[in-house]
Amino acid sequence: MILFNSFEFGVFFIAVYCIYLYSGHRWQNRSLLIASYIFYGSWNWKFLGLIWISTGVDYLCGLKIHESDNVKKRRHFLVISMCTNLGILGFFKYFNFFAASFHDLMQTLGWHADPLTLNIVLPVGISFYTFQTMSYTIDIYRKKIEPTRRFFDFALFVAFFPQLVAGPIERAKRLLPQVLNPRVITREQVSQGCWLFFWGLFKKVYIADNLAQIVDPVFGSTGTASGAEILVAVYAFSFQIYGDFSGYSDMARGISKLLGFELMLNFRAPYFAGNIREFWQRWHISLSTWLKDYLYISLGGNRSGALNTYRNLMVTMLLGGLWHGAAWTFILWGGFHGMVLILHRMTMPLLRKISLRSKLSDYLWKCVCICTTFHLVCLGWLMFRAQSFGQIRSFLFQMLVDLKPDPAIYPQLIKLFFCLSLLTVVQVFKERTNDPYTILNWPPLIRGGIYLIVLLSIIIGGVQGGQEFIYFQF
Amino acid sequence: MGRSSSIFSSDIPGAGILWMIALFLVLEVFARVLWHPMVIGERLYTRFSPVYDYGFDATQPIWFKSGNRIEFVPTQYLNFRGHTLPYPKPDNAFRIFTLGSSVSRSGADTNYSYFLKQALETEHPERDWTVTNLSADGIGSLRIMLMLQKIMPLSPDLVILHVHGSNEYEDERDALYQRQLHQGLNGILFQSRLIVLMKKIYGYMTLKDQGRVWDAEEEIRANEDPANWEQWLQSIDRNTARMIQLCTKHQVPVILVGRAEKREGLAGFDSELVRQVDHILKAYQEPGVTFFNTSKKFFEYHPEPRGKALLFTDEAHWTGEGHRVIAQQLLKHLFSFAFLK
Repeated sequence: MILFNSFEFGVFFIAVYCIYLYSGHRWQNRSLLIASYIFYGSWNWKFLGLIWISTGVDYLCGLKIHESDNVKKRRHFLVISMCTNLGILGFFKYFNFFAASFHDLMQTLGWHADPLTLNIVLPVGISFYTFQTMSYTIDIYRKKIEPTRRFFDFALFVAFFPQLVAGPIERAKRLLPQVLNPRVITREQVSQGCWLFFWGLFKKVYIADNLAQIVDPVFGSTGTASGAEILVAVYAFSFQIYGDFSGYSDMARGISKLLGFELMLNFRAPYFAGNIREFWQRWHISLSTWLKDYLYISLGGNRSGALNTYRNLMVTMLLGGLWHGAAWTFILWGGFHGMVLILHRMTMPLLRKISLRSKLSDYLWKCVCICTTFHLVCLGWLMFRAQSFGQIRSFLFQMLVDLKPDPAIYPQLIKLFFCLSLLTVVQVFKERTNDPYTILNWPPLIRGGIYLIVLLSIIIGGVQGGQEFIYFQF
Repeated sequence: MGRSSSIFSSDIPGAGILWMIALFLVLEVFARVLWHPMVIGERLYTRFSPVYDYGFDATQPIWFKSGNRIEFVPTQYLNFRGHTLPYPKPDNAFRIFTLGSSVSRSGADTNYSYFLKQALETEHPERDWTVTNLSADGIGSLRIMLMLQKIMPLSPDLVILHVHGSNEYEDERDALYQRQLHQGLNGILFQSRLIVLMKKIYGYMTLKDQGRVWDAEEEIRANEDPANWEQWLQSIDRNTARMIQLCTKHQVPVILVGRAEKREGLAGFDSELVRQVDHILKAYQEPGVTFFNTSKKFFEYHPEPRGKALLFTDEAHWTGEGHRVIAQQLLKHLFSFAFLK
């Protein structure tokens, strides 16, 4: 597959960009559509068929829903769209998981059942584009948007290559008009796009891929890691997944900006969140808002009493966990976040009563909140990354009973320091100014220094060879 | 009053990038000026050599003069355990160098070079014996030959060459890694002293990238192919010939140490591979070049089966006892030469 962090992508993008810049709007869209299919087909061209099915069904369903005033008919086409997308998703992503789980359950109950598993390849990015196209038909059904009649432009909305395989999951309301209308590429967009791409590349090849070298041996080991090594690996994973996924999002947004598109912000310094609810307002924003708008609110949201709200939260988070992968560890992770969100909601009235009189105590309280939230999230990441429930149990036990200084972790701590120092500085400034492009407003000398550090980090410490992104598997 | 447009203001397109390039050039100049033995000292200079030489770089020295001593480079790859030699060479000094792989390297005080030095000092205390073990893990005949070239200026009185025959694959892989390091974009990037220096310091601090790219499965596959073995035996032959030629040219006597193996089903210590390697080495016997038959010596010392466990830690590597035995036998072998009598 052509990865953003590969030489092949550089060649691919330059070729596409040259054609793009010298074409009119109509041919820009056509060339982007072809480029998107080449991009996806470079992984496995056979699975382009699934994208075409999603595209064709949702295009037709969107038109039919819009054309009809009959509620039943409208619902009928919505159901067709949902069943097609969820059917594709369910079959390719969850069939083996549910078949194996059913078989295990039967065996536990003492009944004999032959295991039925199929040799199914999980298509890259299936969870992302199916959710994106579903939001299109749901929004038409809810009369929030109108469908487009321009099929190839709709096809580009579904398959737009910068965000096709790992998001952000865009809404038609935001992305489709950008596809349909001529775009103007401004100088500001070019400089922001370049910065976003290189900052994302830095997060991926320097931070995430280096931290993977701390994480993988520990989570791949069979009970040989010490408590301190596990603790460092959990911290490292929390930044690895952030660097990997937000790095991809940054690169996707950067490339889109260079093409004149504006994709939504997907991460907003999530580890500065003061509570778990805020964390989900900062982490994978395109998914969390999707789940809120199309699942949580559809279930009733917080409109029918506390107990129903808690139920809705839990269901949303469990399904959010399942969205990430077909494994019980992901469901546990979702359930854990659901539980913490419920606890937060329950304790919110109490927390609001805490009044702090001085600036210092207010600052310290914020630090405590951020620190607590971060560690809860890290606990969640342990569940997310673990290969089994047994590993979660043994790692937790190991951290509780065998947490003592271990010289084996010192080089890893140095690596963590190297990886996180620049990231932290930049994030702090972004957070303080509430401007993701704050660096671009700094004096050129300091900006040049930052560029140099980013560039040298990629060259010197970056992991070469185009490592895959974690979220591709989702 | 309006601000004039200058490189310090943000309104020039690419001002940040221009500054990045300027800063890089300034730091590059600093690296080139300051990263010099005159400024940072020979030891630090060779520790972080200005050439990107992870793995074995034939262009780099493996020793340097430090005052009145010769020191061997302590890079991650060639860790020679801090051996030093007096400079210039004293009159009554007798310098022996052992070159080989992990079998002859062994532990710091459990290798036959160490035991041999002790034995020589006991037998002939009147002479100043040095037995410098320059063996390194995982190196084959090519890299042993390259190292031999580098130690010739140190006036050796005897060289013990222990071409074990197991690491020819590693030699090929290391050479490939070296080529890849200096090809394409890397080749351009490593022209910069700043990048090389930072890469070395970063690698040192994070224990990253020590030039050893292990791919066990690939190695197993390569070892299973008889065609590879044929090629590797040819390279042992070729490199041994070059080493003998070099030593003869400098009139340095050589002991070629043979191979021994502990394998299930073998009565002694000589497998098919042992016989093949020994056959190559034996062919080079001539005045000043002798062959030391390791498998035979082991068998003479411990003909009974329990000897295998006593002498070997695994199929190829020897225990401290194994090294002690070889040191005793080597001592006898040494004094059977006319030049040592």
